[in-house]
Parts: sequence; C-alpha cells; structure tokens
Amino acid sequence: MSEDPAPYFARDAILVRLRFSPVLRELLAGIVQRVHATPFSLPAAPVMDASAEPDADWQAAWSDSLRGRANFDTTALDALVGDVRFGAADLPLTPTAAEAIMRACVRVRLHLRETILRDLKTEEIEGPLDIVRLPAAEQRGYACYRLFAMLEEDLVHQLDPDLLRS
Amino acid sequence: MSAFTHPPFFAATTPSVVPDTDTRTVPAHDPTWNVVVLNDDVNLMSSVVHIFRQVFGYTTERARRHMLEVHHQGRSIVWTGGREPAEHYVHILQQWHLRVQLESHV
Repeated sequence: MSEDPAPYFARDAILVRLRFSPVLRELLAGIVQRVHATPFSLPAAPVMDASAEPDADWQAAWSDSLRGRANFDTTALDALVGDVRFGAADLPLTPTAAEAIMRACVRVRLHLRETILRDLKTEEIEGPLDIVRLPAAEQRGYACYRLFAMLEEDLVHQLDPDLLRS
Repeated sequence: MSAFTHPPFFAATTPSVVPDTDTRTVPAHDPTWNVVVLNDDVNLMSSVVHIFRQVFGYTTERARRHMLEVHHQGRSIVWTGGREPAEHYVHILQQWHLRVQLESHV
C-alpha cells in the first residue's frame, strides 16, 4: 500500500462503489502487489523505416515511458485496494486517478489471463462459467478478474456517462 | 475485445467505418500513416469507446463504430496522418494496453 494515497482521492468526483468482503480485498491487494512487482512485456516502439538501423535510444525511451506510466497506474490501484475502506464504503477519485486505475485494472487482468487463468478459454471467462469446478487458485483468480472488470466498467461509465445514454 | 459484461455480440453486422484523416497539409514526400487498433480478449468494449473518445476527441457514435470494427473484423484504422502524431497516438494507446500498429498509408 502506498504510504500517501491522498493524491488519488478527491471530493465530488468519481466514486468507487463496489462492496465485498475484507477477505476479497486482501486477495485483490495481494494480486496487485504481485503485478506491481512483476515486469511485464512492453510493446515495442513502431518501426517507421524498416531499412534503417534500429534506434536503441528511441526504443529505450519508448519503453521507459510506458513503464513509468504503468508503474504510476499500478501505484494508484495499489493505494486503492490497500485502503481498508475499499469494498466497504464509497471512495472518491479524481478523474485522472480513475483513468490510472482503469489502466491498472487492464494490466492486472492481462496478468491473470497469462498466469492463473491461462488454461481457461476466452469463451469460458466471458460466458457462464461453473466456477465450482475450478481449482481453488483459479476460483480466486477468476473472482479477482471479474471484480477488476466490474471496477473498470463502473469507473468508465462515471467518467463517460454518454456511454450509457447512447 | 472482452464483452463479458455485455451481452455477447452474435450479430454478423459489419460496421462500415471511414478512417479518420488528419486534414492538416502534409508535404507530398512525407508519407502518411495509419494507426491501427487490433482486437484483444481483455479490454472492455465500453473502455475502448472511452479511450477513442478521450484520445481522438471522437463522438460516442464514431468511437463506438471503431470499437465494433475492431471487435468484429479484428482491426480498425482509427486515425491517419503524419508520422509524429501517429507515433504519439500509438504511444498513448499502448499506455491503455491496447494492441496497436502503424501502417504506411497507401
């Protein structure tokens, strides 16, 4: 958990409204911390001229920028899930923090798809899934995957209410 | 693109999306580039619409058309224009964990 989560919270802003048990919050926090500590594969900078020599400095700057953004985002999510009120009370966020948390949710779900949930097909994850038949680790991973998706969905609809109207 | 919080899209409707083009003048010798977003199994449909609106300033309808094109056809040219802004857009979209590529615009 970040020592100073204050910058991520604001009044009269986007609300984190999910409710769930403290046990699940601890599970979510553990996964976010694991993802935070895991290097993820960064997409390469686009190659504009295939015939030219690869520009290592350009590639490095590109990757450093993406890595910095991802770390910022995951720090925001870490602060949120580390807050004991998460899942028990509404938590306000600035729009900037809400977007950071949305991006971090995607990163965490990508991580879950590549690790704990790697044996599940997309149709199983997106469709009706008999969670009871899954091993315990997959059950926990699936629950976290769904919850982070719900969090992301709730945030995006508050950030962009037009999405619901149209 | 993940649709699990929405009803599955079974319709075979193929949205027709005209690629959005930067209207600024580009010298004849300076090639233009397509920013292409590819489908994936993780990003939520609603989030992708939001991202297109946020990054390109598109209307909800236009952003949704691009999202559906990605979802149904596997890819959508979301922007066409000069090299530097194209690189910028790729970078921003990668920050959102979208799969993006640049293609030379013919």
